[in-house]
Amino acid sequence: MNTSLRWRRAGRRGPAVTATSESAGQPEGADGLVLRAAGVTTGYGRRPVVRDVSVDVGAGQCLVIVGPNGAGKTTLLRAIAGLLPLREGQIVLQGQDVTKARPRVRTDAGMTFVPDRDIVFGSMTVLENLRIALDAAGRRFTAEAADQVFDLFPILRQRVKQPAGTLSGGQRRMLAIARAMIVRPALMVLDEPSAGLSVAIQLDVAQRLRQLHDSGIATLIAEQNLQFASSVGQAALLLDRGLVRWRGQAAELLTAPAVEEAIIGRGIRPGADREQARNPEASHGS
Amino acid sequence: MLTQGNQINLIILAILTCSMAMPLRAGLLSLAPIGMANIGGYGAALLLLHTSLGPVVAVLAAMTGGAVLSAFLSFPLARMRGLYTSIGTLAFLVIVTDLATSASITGGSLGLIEIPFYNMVGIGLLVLGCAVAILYWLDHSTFGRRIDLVGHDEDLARSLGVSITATRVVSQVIAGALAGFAGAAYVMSFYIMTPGIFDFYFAVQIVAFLFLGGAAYWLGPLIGSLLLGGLSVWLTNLGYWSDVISGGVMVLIIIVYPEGIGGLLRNRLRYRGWATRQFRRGRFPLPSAPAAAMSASTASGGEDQS
Repeated sequence: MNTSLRWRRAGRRGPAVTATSESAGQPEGADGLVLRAAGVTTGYGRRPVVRDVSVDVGAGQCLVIVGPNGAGKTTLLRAIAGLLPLREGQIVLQGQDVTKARPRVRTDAGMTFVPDRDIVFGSMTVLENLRIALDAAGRRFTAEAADQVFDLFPILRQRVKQPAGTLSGGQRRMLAIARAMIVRPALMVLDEPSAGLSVAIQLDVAQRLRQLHDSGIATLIAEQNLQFASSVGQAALLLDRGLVRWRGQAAELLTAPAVEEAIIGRGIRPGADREQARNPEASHGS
Repeated sequence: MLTQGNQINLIILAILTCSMAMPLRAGLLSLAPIGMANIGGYGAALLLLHTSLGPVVAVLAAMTGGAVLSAFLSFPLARMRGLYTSIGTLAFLVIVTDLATSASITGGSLGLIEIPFYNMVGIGLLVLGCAVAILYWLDHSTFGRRIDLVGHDEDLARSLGVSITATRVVSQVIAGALAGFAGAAYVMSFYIMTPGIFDFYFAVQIVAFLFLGGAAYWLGPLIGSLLLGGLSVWLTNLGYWSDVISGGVMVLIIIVYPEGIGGLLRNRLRYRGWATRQFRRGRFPLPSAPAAAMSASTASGGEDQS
């Protein structure tokens, strides 16, 4: 689907890059999935933080993982990105088993990861930040590649010479997403892309993310902000205390009772107090 | 003018500062190169005293020994993080000097004496040139930028697919070879090798040079070591006051410019590279570019009319 919009990888060296550029027409695994994580159990120390979680993302799909603080969202994403070893389970990326692979193998297979904080190299300029992503992947940095991400994030074009540490929070987030984009990934994994952003900037970032998966890039997002999650995602999953509690469509996130209970809390529905003030008799009995 | 002893002294200081700059770029304040200078110094001295292999073999053996030992050392170090890695390298330095003090083959605390003399100034300058060239390469190559990534943020670098271990091992092996040479050059110039020469205090001195010069720019270590090393040579007649004065200069520069002299230079020169050329070609217009483009178009319009 939509292969004309998929950016072709201009491989310079390394067998994995060449393999991806050859398979640009049909990048998914045999089951049509870009990412298949099955029965993932992982954690720090003795206690598992994430237990038996399975996640599938197809090309051009966007899956959001929602959950309260400490639910294991970041842990799950770090395990998928290869920064944390799995205890059980399997991770298949573009049909390639990367369960035990180093992060480098995963980036070569087309995954990029944007962590939730410390997302840019502060003392480097915006342009250097973009350039190093291609350097790290062992590919050449061209003005065309930079131009393509600047078309998506025009604000960065005006700030190319500025040290990334002096950017605002929203601009940093955009730079981090742009840096992940410039390697032309098949799968982008983003941890809390809305964190610390004002509502206006959130809307902007959400629109860019929708453009990403419209162009055929699979995205996996961990998010705490339900509004943001429902506006960006297609499929959604609720993670609570390391377990999958609910699966559905992102559009249902704002109304699903299980999500409301896990994230907002039992009996503290927003507006409940106002409802009660307006209509004291109705809520008196309950 | 500098005596030959002072010349080789400065060259050795500069080589060691450059060698310590390489792991530092990968986020590793490592004192291991000073340990490698001990290994190189004792290795070369023992070869020259007890065998007839000659100076070339001694120098090469010192460099190889430094590099190989650095490679072995870098794997346990890769399992440590931040400050703990520095303490690990400090432990290595203490172990090396303690072994040299207690072993009989190294002559104990009196060290080795009557080591044959060779003029090392020429070859020393050559190796220093190589060290600076390597730093220049790190500043201008893909591999160097990977090393910088690791130095900036390990987790972020890993998530971009950079191998922490690989970059650190390479930087430490190069540093080890250079430090091994520095040790060999020392014993072949000054007839003597004792455990007190490349000890912890010496390491602190090199760290001071490194911070003064700044590791972020390829010329930084050279500038720092020549400036502060030269100052201390120049002030030698003042005895203890020379340390006070050079320490004061160092503190002053670090307060005024924490990134060191090299950082200052780098920020001045930063945009003289690829990005600036792209700017000049108008690939990435600055915010003021529309005005420039307008004036350009009116200029060309004027030409059309004429």
